[in-house]
Amino acid sequence: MSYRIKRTRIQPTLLVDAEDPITYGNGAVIVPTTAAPGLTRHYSGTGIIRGLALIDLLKTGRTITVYFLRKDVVFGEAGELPSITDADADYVTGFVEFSHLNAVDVGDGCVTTLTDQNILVQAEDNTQQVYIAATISGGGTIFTATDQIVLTVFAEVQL
Amino acid sequence: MANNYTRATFTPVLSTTPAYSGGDILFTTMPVYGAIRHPGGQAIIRGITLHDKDDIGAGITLYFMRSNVSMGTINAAPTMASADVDKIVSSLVIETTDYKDLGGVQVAFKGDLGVPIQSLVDTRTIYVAAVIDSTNKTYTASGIVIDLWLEDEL
Repeated sequence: MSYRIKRTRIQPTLLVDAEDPITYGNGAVIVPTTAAPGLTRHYSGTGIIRGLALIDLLKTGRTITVYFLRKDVVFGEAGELPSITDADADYVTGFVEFSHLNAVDVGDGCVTTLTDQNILVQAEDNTQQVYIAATISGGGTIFTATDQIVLTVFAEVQL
Repeated sequence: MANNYTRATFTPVLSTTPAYSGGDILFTTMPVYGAIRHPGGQAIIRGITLHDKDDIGAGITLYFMRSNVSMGTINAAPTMASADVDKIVSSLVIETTDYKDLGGVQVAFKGDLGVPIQSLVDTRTIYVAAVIDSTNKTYTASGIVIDLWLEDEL
C-alpha cells in the first residue's frame, strides 16, 4: 500500500445575506459539513494531512477551526453554535486551528499555514469521501461574499 | 519500508458513581483488538481523538500496555504491582485545552504524535487503561469513545 502527496483545494460556500447581514458570533459555524474530495481515494481509505493553508479574503482577524469528519453528518447550521449529536460526534476525526496570530497579510487577504502536521483522515465504511466543517472565534464577523475562505490541504493519499 | 495507516476505535466502560477524584482510574485495563497489524509487532500512535459525550472535558492520561495487567480498581487510585509496571509501553496525556465544545459533546484531538505501542508475541492486541486528572467528574458508562490513529509496517 503506497501513498502519494496530493493538493486539495476546498472553497466552501459561506452563508451571506446582503439584505439582512449574518453576524457570526464567537464559536459559530461558518462552514457546515462540506465534502473534501480528494483526501481519500478508496472505500474506508485513509489519508495523512501533512500541511494546510487557509486563505481569509475578508481578513477577519479571527481564529478559524477546521474539523474533519468521516461521514456527512450535521455539524451545525451556519451562523449558529455547533449542534452535533452525541452519536454523530463519533465521526469527527480531528481538527486544526488557524490562529489569527499566525495569519500573514498578503494584500487582498490573509494566509495562515500549518506545516509538519500528521493528521490522519478516513472515509466511513463503504464511502470514499472525507468531510470538513469550520467554526470562527471572536464574534461580529460578517462575510460579504460566499467565497471568502479557501482551504488548501496537502495530504498523502492512499493509492 | 511501506507503512500502513489505520484507525482503532474502542469504548471503555466507565464508573457512573461516585464522582471521580483526580488521580483515579477512569477505566481499568482493556484490550484493543487488532491494533497492531502483525502479531508481536509494534506501531506508532500518530493521533488520538476522544469523543466525550458527557460533555465533561476532563484531563485524562492513557497508559498503553503490552499485556493484560491490572492497574487497580476503577474509580480509585492506581495500585499497580512493580512487576506489572514493566508492561507499560507508553502514555499519552489529554489536557483540558485539547477539547473543543461542539454543543452537548466535546471532542479532544491530538495529532502529530509519535507514541509507541507493542503487542505480545502471537497477538495483535494492545491493552489500555486511563487515569483521570480532573476532580469531581461524573460519567455515563459509555460516555467516552476513543479513536487511535496508527501507523505500522506493512
